[in-house]
Amino acid sequence: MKDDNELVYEVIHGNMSSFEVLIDRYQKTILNMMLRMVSNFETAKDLTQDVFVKAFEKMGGFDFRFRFFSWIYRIAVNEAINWNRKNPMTESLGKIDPIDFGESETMAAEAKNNLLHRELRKMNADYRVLVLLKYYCGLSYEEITEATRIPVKKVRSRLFIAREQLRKGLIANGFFEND
Amino acid sequence: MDFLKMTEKEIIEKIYRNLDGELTKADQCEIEDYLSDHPEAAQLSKEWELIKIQMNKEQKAFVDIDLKQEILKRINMETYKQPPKTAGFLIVRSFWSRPAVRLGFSFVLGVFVGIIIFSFLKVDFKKANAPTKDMKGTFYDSRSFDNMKVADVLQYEDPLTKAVCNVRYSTKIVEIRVDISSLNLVKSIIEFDYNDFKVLNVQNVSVNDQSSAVVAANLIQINNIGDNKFIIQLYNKNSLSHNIDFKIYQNDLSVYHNSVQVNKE
Repeated sequence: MKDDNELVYEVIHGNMSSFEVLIDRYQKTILNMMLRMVSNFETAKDLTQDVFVKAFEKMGGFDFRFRFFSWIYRIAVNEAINWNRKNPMTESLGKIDPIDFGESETMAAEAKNNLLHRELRKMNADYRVLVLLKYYCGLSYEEITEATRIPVKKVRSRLFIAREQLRKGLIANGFFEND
Repeated sequence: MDFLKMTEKEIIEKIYRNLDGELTKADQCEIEDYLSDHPEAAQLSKEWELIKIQMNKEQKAFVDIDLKQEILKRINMETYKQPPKTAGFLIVRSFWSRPAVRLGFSFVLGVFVGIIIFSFLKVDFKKANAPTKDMKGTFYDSRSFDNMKVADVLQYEDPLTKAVCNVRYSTKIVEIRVDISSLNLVKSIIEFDYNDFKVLNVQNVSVNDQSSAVVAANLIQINNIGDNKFIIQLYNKNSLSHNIDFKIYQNDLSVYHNSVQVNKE
């Protein structure tokens, strides 16, 4: 299996099928991150497409010293944060699109999921994005630093604040009841 | 780890790092011991573990739709005329995209443009210096004199003496250029109120050994024999309108007396 940077090199040389492989690899994570950043499926879809279109346009300037995933996550993070700045949370939190768990999941699990989603949405976008990169995209602190250009120390302290805010918000809304 | 010395925040941070699998085995054992002795901390750890489980469940339930075709369609529409650059150009672009290179290039370009603009503004140095080509040692170029307002040009001539006194001024500076020629000793006095003016500079531009200029607080006296040139600069202390007197004496007899007004309203 070719690594990301090899695929980028091939895209730059005009091989579109390599770009399709990159889309396959990252679209799911980016779409889901966007969904948790904007809480609207159509907007998340549009923003995800924007991320890949921008990535393609900027690929000629890709710096091969960096890893592709941190580069595309950075584009995604910027898109998401910019969108949040342009569209501050004015809608009722009740209007947030629930994430579909499928029929196998219990109602309680779905309720918990929506509660978690809502608490994440309440969080400042700069903090939320770090939680998403850490726990949804599975990046380490160093990788988050690479993707966001925020120093590791700051990532750690911001994540600390974000986690505490999330935990306390969930406690207040009865997330841990019956556990 | 000495938990006694740690703040609550540090302990919580350790718990998070333990849950994220970032601690060494020794540290893990210590934090596990600590959690078994501290129910509140254990509760926090359990709560965050539940949050992580919920997040993992969400990850498994990630929406999985294929946006590939839509993305490729948009790329074809939006970037058809701008395909990615070739790798050869890529290396060059990554070099030029470095901030240091950009700044350096901007600096060099700025200097270059500055030189061009400066050379346009200065137009012709030789031409600009032409009227004062014989004024050795002066650091006041004639451009500033040419740009000043003309107060008056006083002239005196008799068979033995010829004097031209060109007076110009700006708001703060008065510049007087004296061309004087005489066969015998002639005293030329430029007189003013010392409350209004201060002598900035007296330049002997082209002065022979027998001639000299003497400066006092309220006057400048030129003792002249032969052909000489002087440049005098006065500082107008209050930028108001004032008079400057010109007197010429031959054998201590006044032969000429006139007055020039600067900073005319």
